[in-house]
Amino acid sequence: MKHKKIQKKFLLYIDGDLSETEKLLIDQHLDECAECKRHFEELANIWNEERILESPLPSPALWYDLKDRMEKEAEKSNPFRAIVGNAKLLLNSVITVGVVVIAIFIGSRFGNLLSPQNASQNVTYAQSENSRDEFGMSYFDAVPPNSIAKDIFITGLDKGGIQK
Amino acid sequence: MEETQIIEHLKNGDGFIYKYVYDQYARMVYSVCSRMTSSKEEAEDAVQDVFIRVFDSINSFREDSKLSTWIYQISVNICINKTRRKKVISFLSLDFWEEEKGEKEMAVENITPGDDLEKSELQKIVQDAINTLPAKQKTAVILSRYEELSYKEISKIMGVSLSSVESLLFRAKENLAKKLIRYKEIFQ
Repeated sequence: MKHKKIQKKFLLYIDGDLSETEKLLIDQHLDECAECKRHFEELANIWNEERILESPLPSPALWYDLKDRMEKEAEKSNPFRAIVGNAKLLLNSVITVGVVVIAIFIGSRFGNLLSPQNASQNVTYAQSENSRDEFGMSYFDAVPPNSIAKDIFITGLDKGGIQK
Repeated sequence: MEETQIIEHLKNGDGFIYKYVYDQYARMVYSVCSRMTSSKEEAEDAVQDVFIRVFDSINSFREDSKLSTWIYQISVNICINKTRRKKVISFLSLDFWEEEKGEKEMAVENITPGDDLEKSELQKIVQDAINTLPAKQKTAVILSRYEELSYKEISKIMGVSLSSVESLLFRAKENLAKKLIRYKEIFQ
C-alpha cells in the first residue's frame, strides 16, 4: 500500500510539484526500496524524453481544405444562392403536385370505364356505331372471352345496351 | 502585425487576413487538436472547425484576453465536443465495448520490453495514458505540459479557478503515474 502511495507521486516529484517535506519522504523511500527506485527511473525516462519530442505538424494541404470549406460555406450563406435554391425547391414541389393531380385525373377518368356500376350507363352512350368506336369497342372485341372486363361489359349489354 | 490589427482586419472581413491568421496559429491549434482527438483525420477536421469558428465569431470576441487564449478556448471546446459526440455515437452503435477493449489492448501491445523505446512508441504510451484521463484533467495536462501555458492562462481557457487547475493537474499526474507504471509492469 505504501509503495502504491509513493509511486503515484512520482510524476509530481519529477515536475517539481511537491513540497520539500514530501520530496524528502520519497527520497527516503527510494533509498530503501529497489523496486520503487526502478519504477521511478523508468517513469522519469519516459516522462522527460516524451516531453521534448517535437509537436505534431499539420499537413501542408490543410490550408487548402480549409479554404475550400470556407468557400463552400460562403456560397451556402449567399442570399442570391439562397433565393435560387428556394425557387428550385418551390418548382420541384409544384411539379410533384402537378404530376399527382394529373395522375388522379387520368385514374378517375379511365378507371370509370371498367367499374361495373358505370358499365351499364356507358352502354347508353354506346348505342350508335360512332359511340362504339368512341368507347373503344373494337378494343373489347379483342379482349379474351374469359376476361373480367369483357364479362362486365357484356353484362351491361345484356341489360339493354347495344342492339345490332 | 499587432494583435489589435489582426482583430480589426478579421472584423472587417479583409480577405488576406485569413491565411495570415492560419499561418500564425495553425501549429498551435493542430498541436492541441492532435493531442485531444484520437486520429490525424479527426484532428484536421477539428482544426478546420476551429478556424471557421474564429473567422465567423470574431465579432463576439470581447478582447479581454489574448487572441491566442480565445483560439485555445475554441480549440478545447471543439475537441471536447467532438470526443463526447464520438463516444455517444460509438456507444449507440454498440461498438463501444469492443473499442474500449481494443484501445486497452493497443496501448499495452505497443510497449516493447526494455528501456530502448522508439520515439513514436514513447509518444504513443504517454498519449494513450493521457487519453484515458477524464476530459478536464486531460485538457489541463495538454495545455500545461505541451503548450507550456501558465496556470492563469489555463484557468482562463478552461473557465475554472486557479486552484481548480492545480487540483486537476495534481490528480492527472497521480493517475498518469499509476497508469504508466502499470503498463511497464505488464512487460517485465
